Amino acid sequence: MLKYKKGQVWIGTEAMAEQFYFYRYPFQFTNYFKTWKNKYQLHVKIQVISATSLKKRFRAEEFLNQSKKNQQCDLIEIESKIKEDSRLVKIAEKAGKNEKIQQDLNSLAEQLRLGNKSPGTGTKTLFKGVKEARARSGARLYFREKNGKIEVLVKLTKNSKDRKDVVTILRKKYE
Amino acid sequence: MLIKKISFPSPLEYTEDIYDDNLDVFVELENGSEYTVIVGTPKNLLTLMNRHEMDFLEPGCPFIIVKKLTMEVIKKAIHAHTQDDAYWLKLHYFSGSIESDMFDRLQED
Repeated sequence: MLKYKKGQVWIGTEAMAEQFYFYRYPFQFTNYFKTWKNKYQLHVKIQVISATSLKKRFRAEEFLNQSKKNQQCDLIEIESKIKEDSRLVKIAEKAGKNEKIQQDLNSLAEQLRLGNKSPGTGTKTLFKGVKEARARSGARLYFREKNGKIEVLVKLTKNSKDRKDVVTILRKKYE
Repeated sequence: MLIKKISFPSPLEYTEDIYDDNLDVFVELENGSEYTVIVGTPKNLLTLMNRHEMDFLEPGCPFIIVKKLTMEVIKKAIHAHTQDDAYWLKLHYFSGSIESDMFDRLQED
């Protein structure tokens, strides 16, 4: 509502539909609200859409933090090397059959992409250059960093019978 | 049941803080059966909660809790879990693989 005029500027408050306030991102008024013949017409337009109290808290802090995070994130490129070895493909496919494990494997990869070097329950070094990201569900993702990229070498589970063999395969390929 | 061998996918000497970490442990028993369990420290539980900004530890495979991550302490803890036909060792190992209808059947009994 227009309250008072300060110099050439009108100072006022605006009321908006409650649902707008649940949006994570800011909103803009369409031209419909920007044009009016007189202040009474604007008043009517705003009254038509307002449903409850004119006061509503907008959680600006949450939005600003989100925005800050987005600006800070340097996404790291991820490349899967699994397909280069049919044995590793089979092992990864086996792990992915469990929905929860697959979900956590995706989450581990996403965290690495976002620059979190120790997602889940922590990362372990298997041998020089090759690390293991671990989730509480038992998901294990083996990877290495090369030329600023993350290379996913294999995905498996904590209980996989192939774990020792996998390390042997990876040592031959990458050590 | 007797332990034949204890080994680690990630060498134990890579552990930076033996009082604040968790690791996978391969356990081979005398009868040839093999199990993988997670051994962690009490401090690490708090570290994980803080890292994930949570007031509790997210559900998942249980940890065998030890004071510190040394071979001597891990051996003792694993040994304790191999008693009674390695019941607790097996429970730790299979914890993520048990179908939930099994719990329903146990509840019915």
